Amino acid sequence: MAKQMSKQLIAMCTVALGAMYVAGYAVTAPFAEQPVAGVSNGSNTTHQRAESDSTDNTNDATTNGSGGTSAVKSAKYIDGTYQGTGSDQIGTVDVAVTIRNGKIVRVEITECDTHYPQSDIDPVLPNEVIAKQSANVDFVSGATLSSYAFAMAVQQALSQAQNPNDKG
Amino acid sequence: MSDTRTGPLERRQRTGLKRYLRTPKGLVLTLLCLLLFIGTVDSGTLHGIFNVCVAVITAVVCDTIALWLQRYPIRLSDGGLVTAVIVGLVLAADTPITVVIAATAIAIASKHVLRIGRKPIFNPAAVGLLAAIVGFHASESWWGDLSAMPAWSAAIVLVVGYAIVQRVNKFPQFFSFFAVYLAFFAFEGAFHVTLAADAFRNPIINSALFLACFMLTDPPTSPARYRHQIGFGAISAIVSGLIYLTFGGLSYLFIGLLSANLWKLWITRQKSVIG
Repeated sequence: MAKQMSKQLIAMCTVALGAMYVAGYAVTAPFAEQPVAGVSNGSNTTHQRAESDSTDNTNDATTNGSGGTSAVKSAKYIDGTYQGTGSDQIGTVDVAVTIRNGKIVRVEITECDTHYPQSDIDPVLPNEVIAKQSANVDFVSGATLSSYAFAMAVQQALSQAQNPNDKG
Repeated sequence: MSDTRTGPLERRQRTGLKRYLRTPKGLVLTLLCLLLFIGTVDSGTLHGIFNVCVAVITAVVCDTIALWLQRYPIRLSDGGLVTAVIVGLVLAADTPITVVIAATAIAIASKHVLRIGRKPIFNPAAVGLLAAIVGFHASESWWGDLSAMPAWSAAIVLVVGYAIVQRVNKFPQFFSFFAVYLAFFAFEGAFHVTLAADAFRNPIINSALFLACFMLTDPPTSPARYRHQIGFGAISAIVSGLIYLTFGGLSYLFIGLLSANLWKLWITRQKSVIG
């Protein structure tokens, strides 16, 4: 059995680690809190909202059709349920987005493997997607990374649902 | 007055309990229960405690079956209880009960199957939690490390963790883990790697603290000699860091710890061959 470290040595090591921590924190402060899109490809972004060219115009007249055949044909999204996955350094969020009559009617988080509990973003963000008819959601304070992964997942699902006949 | 009323049996039981709480396993159980209590109060839900209870019952059952199969005397394994509480504190509170049971059962099975002599090779909780991610895509929120609380909660984990690190005499391991962890991510941070910035902040730093204090220091699966402890902590940190930056996700700390367990196995084999 090894003998115990002296209290002085423990205190000195603690102070040294504290100094390393403060230095590391300060060095990384300028670019902290930036969501990272897809760890595997390492692409960074400074956006605080999930920008999506394909979903920005979701509230266009094309999705406001009341169920008429022609309206649905020209709707932005094709009816059905689409899966999407968003990941970042704290894990993965999977969603299932249901489109009916060209509109987003249901968003379900099917898996939430992140450092934060699912309840931090569910049902706030799914409801926001339905209300805005877009993946362009406001991030939940304190769960920024989970919010980002969620937005990515919805965006991926919506890109699959995209109607090729849509001119918008 | 009350002392005069207590009988000798009661006094002996109380002394026995006090003595048990001073043992490493008794202390770590007490401190984990403290984190459990704080995490539960903060979350305002009993789901987490329910998961821990399920994990504890599963561990007791699995340990009993394993001891019976090996024809050892049946007894309550406090090591199994520690493993179960850690599993319950790491799995998200809304994890399905089947996943909690499976993760705990795998953890306890690994303790009995993957071993040298009577010592497990791998940290049982790390095995169970890694299996939960890979096999069941389990959600691991590490709520027991108080990551849902504000940043200052890391100080609570640190103070509670120091008590157990001191008790099991693993400060060299703890310090080497964090020295390498902080240096590695500070170096990466200098090149503006965003992931490195998160390593200094909640919830990543809280989970690293929790692992370093409660899992890395597990006496049967970590070395006792100081120079080996330094290597053990450093290997765990460097592997964790590399996995974190390369793949992200939640498994990096477990893979780092299991790699260090393998290194400990290697040095133990070397010693037995030479010695």
